[in-house]
Amino acid sequence: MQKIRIDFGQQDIFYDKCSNGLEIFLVPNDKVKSFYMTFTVKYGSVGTEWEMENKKYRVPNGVAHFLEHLKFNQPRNKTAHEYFKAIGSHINAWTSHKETSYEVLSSTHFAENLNYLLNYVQTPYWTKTLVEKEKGIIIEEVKMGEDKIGNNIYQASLNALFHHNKHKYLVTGDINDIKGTTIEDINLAYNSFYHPKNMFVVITGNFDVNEALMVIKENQSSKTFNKYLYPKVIVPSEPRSVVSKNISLVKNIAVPKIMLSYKMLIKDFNMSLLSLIVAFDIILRINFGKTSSLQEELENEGLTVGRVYFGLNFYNDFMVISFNATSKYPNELINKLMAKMQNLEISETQIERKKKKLLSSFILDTDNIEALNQFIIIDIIREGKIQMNEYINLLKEVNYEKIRAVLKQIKTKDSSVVIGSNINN
Amino acid sequence: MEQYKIYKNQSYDILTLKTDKFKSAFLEVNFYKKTSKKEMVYNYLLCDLLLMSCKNYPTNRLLSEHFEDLYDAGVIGSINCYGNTVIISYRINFLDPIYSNEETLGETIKTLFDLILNPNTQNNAFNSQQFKVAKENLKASLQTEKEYPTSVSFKRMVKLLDNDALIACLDEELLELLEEITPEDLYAFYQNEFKKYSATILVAGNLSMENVVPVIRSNFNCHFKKKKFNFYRKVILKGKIKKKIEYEKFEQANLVVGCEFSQLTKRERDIVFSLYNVILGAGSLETKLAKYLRRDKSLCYSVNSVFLKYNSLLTIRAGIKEDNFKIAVKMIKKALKEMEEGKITEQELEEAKSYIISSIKLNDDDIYTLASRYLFNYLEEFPLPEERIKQLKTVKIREIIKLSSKIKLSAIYMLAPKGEKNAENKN
Repeated sequence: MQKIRIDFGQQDIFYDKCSNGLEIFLVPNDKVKSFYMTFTVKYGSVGTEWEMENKKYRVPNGVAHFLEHLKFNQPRNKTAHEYFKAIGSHINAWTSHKETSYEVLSSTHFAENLNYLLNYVQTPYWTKTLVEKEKGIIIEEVKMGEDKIGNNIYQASLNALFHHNKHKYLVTGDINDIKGTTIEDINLAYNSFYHPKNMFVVITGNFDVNEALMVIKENQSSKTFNKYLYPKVIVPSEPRSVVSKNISLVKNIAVPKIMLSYKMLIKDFNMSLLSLIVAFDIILRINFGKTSSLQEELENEGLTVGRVYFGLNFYNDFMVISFNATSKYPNELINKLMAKMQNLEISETQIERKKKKLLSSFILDTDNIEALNQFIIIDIIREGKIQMNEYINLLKEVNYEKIRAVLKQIKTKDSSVVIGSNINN
Repeated sequence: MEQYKIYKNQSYDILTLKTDKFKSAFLEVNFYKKTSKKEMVYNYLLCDLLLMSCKNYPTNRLLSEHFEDLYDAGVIGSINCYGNTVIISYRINFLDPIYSNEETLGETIKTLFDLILNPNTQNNAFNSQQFKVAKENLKASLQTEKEYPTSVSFKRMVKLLDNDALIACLDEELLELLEEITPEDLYAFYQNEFKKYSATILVAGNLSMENVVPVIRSNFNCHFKKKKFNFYRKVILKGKIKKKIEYEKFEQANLVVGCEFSQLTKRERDIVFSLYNVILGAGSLETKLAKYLRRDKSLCYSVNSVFLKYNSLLTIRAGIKEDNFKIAVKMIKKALKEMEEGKITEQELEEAKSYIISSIKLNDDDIYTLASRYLFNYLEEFPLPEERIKQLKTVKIREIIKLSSKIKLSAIYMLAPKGEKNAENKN
């Protein structure tokens, strides 16, 4: 077992690995009463085509999510929900582009909760009847999502940016995908990806590290798994260009919403993903955040309702900087944002202020056991290791010259705009 | 370590919770009063405007920089309705001074009171530019309610039962009231009406409360009338069930069923009802509603029940296909009837108790939910966790049956997708 000390915020993360390959990350905290466990498989919505032992396999969009739904079914007409409710635990699961996570939040019955979490996720149980039944439920979930304007705008943006990248497809798949999913698709996805070598456990909160390790290792050693064939998700090649520079989304939208996105190749920056995150967090906050002159100008001119939100996301070889906002004057707002992206500014004073803010945020964010668990999941999915110390070091070391170097690499040619409103813009 | 202490004086009490569990702390000022729709609009606007700036930091930008200097402190304003009483909360969250700088604590506390007491005004009016921004932002927020079918369908269902209920206030009604307000009107409201509110302060964190309380008193040297409030909406149960179906441009139908209740005892309201709710439809997929609507019939992805204690309302909500309206209502009625008839096993009851007790313990790990229980204990004697758990363990099925007899299905509302075949609204 290894111990990783997170100096800033004073946390210890314990790491171990089972003989079958399952990785374990444990962060005990005896000040809280509850514990939060996640069991994650590195398989998400983009895994619709993969190669395994020189053969190619393919499933419809949405299978990772469909599988997540079915996982809660257990033999003898039972469900995971029944078991956990009986011991007062809160459970849930989610699927995103690259992972599916199953969670338990509780304050008692630690060993029982952990054992059952490992067991139900690693017990494949579904029938054709269950698969057909789940379709109706997932279809209603899709429709619920279609009534969420933010989701629609985000999805439209991904479709505008990417020609072939699988991130552009709904995590749930669309209704036709769902209707077309078969039990064979589910079996194939489960057997290919749900192997301990492709999974990891993260536990945060109040628990005993030695007990956790003992439970997990005993649990895993009592099971046998087929040989892991290291499926390699096929990543289609994606050009730099966007599909569409402008999309108008007509929906039941009372006040127009915009999403402006810039698509850039990560390799153009010649730096690690974490360095990019640190640099752009500072650049975007200085130029577009609450303390920026632009935000003040936009508010005073009535060009935004509230703030402009911004973010940085990675999609295989690409990173996307996006801005979204609500505005009665969407075109004027977009012009201002684009003009600012052509004219990004920084100063040493501003950089130091943002560093102070981000270091404080780190302490606050990691004070919550669920948020801390999520940070670890994100680190493992993105880089395969804990990066909190690297993040803090990069943040402390970042300076004017380093940020200037990043600014020089920014290319704004490949962008797309989505305007959502109740008329065609 | 947790130490709770109330510091009393004639104008307002300060509830303090010293705890070393968290790396953050907060200070919250709560104002409350019985209110009206018109006053609600004033309060929404005032809340936004007060948190934009103050005399010492006269722009949002300067204020934001100041918060960054205070190690990423942040302010939140919120307005919540409890029956016809509103609680307006202004809260500042900040890093425990051990992790930042002990010297900034006084300035952090002062900043919240600066925002509340020293707004950016000129000539008996709020700054006209900022007023305009806040008003336009609020207007746009109110207009966007139409985009949220769950919110719209809920409010319209409540309106079937009580047109004047604050929680039924559709944002389009508030828009009309908002149009009329001027910077002078708002300032007059702030000067005259605001002071009629009662106030209570809540502070939590690893702070030396003996030192913090005097800082609060010196910065918040105001006079409020201490009052006890009845937070509960009064209901007279009527015989007929009100029904309505309306159509708008959404993809999924939202079905909302409202059940009113009356004459509950304190034990029923504070303890028994939460068990009723968890068995019926809250918190997990092992509820009667989830079983009948989702698991057995695949009618929906999401179905739940919500116990709105202060509004004397139990609501049941499901996202369904319009065609499944009748079967969904039938399943909801089936679930309610089973509660009435006591078709609840001992196992179901015990599991519901475990679930709620677990939830109570989980709330201990969030500084705000941990501290808020003391606020509600103070305001309306809501039992603290130890007492609540003790009482929960003693509840019997017969109490749930007795409670069920006081709950009446009163309204059924569906907001369905607009299509060619259903262009007209139906009753």
